[in-house]
Amino acid sequence: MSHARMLTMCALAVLLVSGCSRIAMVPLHDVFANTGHALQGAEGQQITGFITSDGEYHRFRGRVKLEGDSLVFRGRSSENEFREPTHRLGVDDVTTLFSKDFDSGRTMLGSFGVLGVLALLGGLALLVAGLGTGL
Amino acid sequence: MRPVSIDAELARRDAPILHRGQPISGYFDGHGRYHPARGTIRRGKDGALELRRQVGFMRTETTRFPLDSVRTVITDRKRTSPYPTLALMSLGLVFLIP
Repeated sequence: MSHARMLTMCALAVLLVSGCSRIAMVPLHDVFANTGHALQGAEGQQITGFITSDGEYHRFRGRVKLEGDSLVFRGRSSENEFREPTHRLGVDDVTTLFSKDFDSGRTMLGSFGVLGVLALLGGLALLVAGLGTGL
Repeated sequence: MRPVSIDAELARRDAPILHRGQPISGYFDGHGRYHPARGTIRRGKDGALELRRQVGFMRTETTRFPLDSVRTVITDRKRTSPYPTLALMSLGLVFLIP
């Protein structure tokens, strides 16, 4: 297999895998039921937005961390509608978080697995074709 | 999945919710509670929201909501599985490129 073909296949795999992440909905009561959740960790949970107790969606790209009875949202001012780097809300004021789905890693592994199997099949087919022509 | 504020959508003149309808997988009510509800939501002539769902072959059911009872909807972003594309393009690369 030529280097050009190999490079093209790698570029294709990266291109396809890069678009596989998706948004997951995380109800807060599920988070509190799970004591080891990222929200309670030192780094907090990476989010793209959240729903407040009035049902409104708020865009917020950054991280959120549980501090006592408050949720502290941290991110760039330009990437949230509050236009401030830190925003603090009571736990009761937020019902749901939206985070990047962690399945993107699994998708990446799956994509590379499929790619490997296809490359193997293609190689075998070329080998059989080569044997058939006596090359 | 993409959360969309109803107020923001109603403010947009070309929003699907004002015309042909917006496919959704659920919505948040005025208390921030999530309700799974697959169907197409649009604003009716009287201003209320109408959720149309397929309930059988060639049968639809319409549920009406007051405008203030639905605050945010979860829209279905059209997604395609990467695997068929990956398979086709990989086969093309293996067999067609000399």
